[in-house]
Amino acid sequence: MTTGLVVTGGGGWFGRSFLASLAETPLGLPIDEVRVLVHHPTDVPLVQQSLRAAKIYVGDVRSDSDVAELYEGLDTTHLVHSAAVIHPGSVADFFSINAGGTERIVRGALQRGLQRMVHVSSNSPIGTNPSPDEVFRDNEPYNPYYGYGASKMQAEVIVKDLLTAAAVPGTIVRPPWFYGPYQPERQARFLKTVRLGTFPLVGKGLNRRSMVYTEHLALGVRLAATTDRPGIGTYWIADSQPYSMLEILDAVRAAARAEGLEVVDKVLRLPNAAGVMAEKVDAALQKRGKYQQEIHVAGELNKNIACSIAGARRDLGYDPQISLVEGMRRSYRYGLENGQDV
Amino acid sequence: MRTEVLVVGSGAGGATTAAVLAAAGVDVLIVEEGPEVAPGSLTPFSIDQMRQQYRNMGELIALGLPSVTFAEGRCVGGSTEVNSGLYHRPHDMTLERWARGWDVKDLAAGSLLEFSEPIERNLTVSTFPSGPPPASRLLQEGAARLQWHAQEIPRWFRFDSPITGVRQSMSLTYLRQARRHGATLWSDTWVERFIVEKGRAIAALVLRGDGTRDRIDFDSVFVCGGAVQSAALLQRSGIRRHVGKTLTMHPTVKAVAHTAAPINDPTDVPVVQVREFYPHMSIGGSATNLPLLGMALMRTRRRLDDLAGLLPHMPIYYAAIRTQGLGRVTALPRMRDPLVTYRITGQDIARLRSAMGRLLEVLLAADTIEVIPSALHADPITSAAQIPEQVAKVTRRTADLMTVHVCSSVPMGEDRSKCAVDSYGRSHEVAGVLVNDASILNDAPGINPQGTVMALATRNAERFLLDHGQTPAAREFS
Repeated sequence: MTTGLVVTGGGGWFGRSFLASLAETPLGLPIDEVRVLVHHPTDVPLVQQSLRAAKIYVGDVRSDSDVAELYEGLDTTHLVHSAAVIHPGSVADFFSINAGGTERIVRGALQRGLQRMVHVSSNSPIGTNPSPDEVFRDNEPYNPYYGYGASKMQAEVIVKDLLTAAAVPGTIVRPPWFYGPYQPERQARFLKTVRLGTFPLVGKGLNRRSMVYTEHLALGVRLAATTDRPGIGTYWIADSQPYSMLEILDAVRAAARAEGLEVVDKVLRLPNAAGVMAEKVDAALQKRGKYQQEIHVAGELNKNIACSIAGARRDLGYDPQISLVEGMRRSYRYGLENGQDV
Repeated sequence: MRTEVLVVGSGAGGATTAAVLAAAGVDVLIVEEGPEVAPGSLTPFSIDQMRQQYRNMGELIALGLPSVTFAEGRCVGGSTEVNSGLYHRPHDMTLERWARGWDVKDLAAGSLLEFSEPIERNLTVSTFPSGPPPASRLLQEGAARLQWHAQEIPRWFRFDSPITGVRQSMSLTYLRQARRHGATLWSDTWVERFIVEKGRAIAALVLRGDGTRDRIDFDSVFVCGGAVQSAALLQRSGIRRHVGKTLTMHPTVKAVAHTAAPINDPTDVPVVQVREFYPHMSIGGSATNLPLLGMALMRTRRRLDDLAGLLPHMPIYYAAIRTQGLGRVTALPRMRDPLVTYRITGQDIARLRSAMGRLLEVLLAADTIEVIPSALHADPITSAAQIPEQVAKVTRRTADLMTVHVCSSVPMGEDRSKCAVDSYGRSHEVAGVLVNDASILNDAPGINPQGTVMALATRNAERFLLDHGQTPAAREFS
């Protein structure tokens, strides 16, 4: 009997953070091996850095044979599924990877004695809050934000349907905007532009965003993977409180300053209309199947995307401890140590 | 005709004011525009009731994009004779917001409790002796499955059995109390305007039901006609500063639940509300009789066959929001009814969509066969994944909004840059005029406002007595 912990998206921002946490402290489940699916061969050494003992599979969640290979030889499985695309080449990729890939991964696991699954979803299936002083609860109606949101909604529905039919317990975790070590280049750009005062602040900056430090997310996923709660729970995994955009920018600058970096105390202010316009262009492009990362991000900057972690605290014992400034400091340090232009 | 105090309107504000003043020995005349109807003599939510006890058959419109239809009572006892009877204590967070935002004196958290408690005893505010009825439980079950906070809201009902009770409306309680202490009530009497001389209101010109005109001289007048009529009356009397410019409402969207079990009572209203999202939105049950069910489904794509057979299986539920936008009341020359407009902002549309989504979510989480959003071209749905497509049908052009809570047209407070009356309802502009109804609430309270209106009305009427060297009587009826 071989029991595997299968982690998809292992080369990603969350994936590497989660695997690093496993290297530090195993989950405590009776697991014989950790299998990690990555998309690019270039991810292999990165995953090895995070978790030396991982068995790494290079493959595509859109490929039946790649997924079959991932599970081959396993008798029972624990699954953490985080493979997804957030900034794709085309809108069609959202659905083939995020929804179709999820279905393939879950069906594969169910054939290999799936014991429990953690599905890493997103804030995007739930959309945006109408005003800055509202927060999303764990159980909210779907209101997907464009193509990514719709694809992640489909993925959630697939997970719920398949697990329910198979009577396998699972947890859907919804992380909002990430920050923390293992960040991709786009986050390094964010850190640099905020530090140098060229980050565009759309509107007054009073809109609120929940963020999640990647170690917090790793903690939330660990708790979700090891809980003995029956059924399928859905939880927001984020920092303790949402922040206003101004607070976020202040924290990033404070972190940069504390790390001894040059900081320009200004922001590039853009009128709210700029965000509205960017969102409209993003919507028009996505309608035509096209995706443009900068425009999508600009359209989101003045939105309220705030959640409550009360459910995760209550049911999972989730208790995030790292402050925004400390998390951002660690982000700068990671960037500097890994050759990123932060 | 001469009276010491004239009270215009006999609803929650007017009846409470009259009872407090009359019990202290003040000579009080109450004038009510609508007729006097014996409580319990009309079937709730029937056409007869609409005709006799509601203004304009229960169909008033605040023009805008979208417009909001609203209903208000027009009879002795006002809306308390026809509403659902749900009672909320004034919320501390709201009082603090008002005190801070409008500089309202003596309105700290908990400051109204001494008024609320006797009101609750006078109205026998209570919950169902044997738990809420099935249409209420449906909402409770759905909310429990979503881990949303929901609760049975008590009502001003005197229960005579585990499942039936008599609404303790103003005509059975505070108006009876006022009359017992000598107050006079004229029904079918419309106040056209006040006569103001040297900065002081001295008389009202009224039109009686038989077509005769009359003049009522007074020392003071309490305006308690509801947020729309009070503002219009003040404007017709030349009192315009900060009057009628800040109207608030709780616009609602609706959905119909289709259940296997016959749970709908066409003569009553569900009493459970989802309070999880207070103060931004709340979810509750609406009256559902055949005409109301037909109206709720009319613009949808649900087939309307055998509605009468489905009526017991199809209760209507609502989600109500607090809006960012405000409305206006504008008295028009030579017109009896004012123009009411309301501005729904982009944020409000987003919140209405969010409210519709949550309403559909909670009904789907309960034991329902299907849920039908009451929206143009909406389809019945059976799963959460179908919600986004239906919510997208709630747009500025198609939204079908209604409300029964209209407030804030004459805001109270010491901040004269935005308040029409002071912290106790006294006009900043004209002596002898006080406003003591939902008009003075500074913004929409996010709850059924009657409990707040009555507590403030008691407080302000007692203050009036103290100002005039008189002693308020006991608050609780003997």
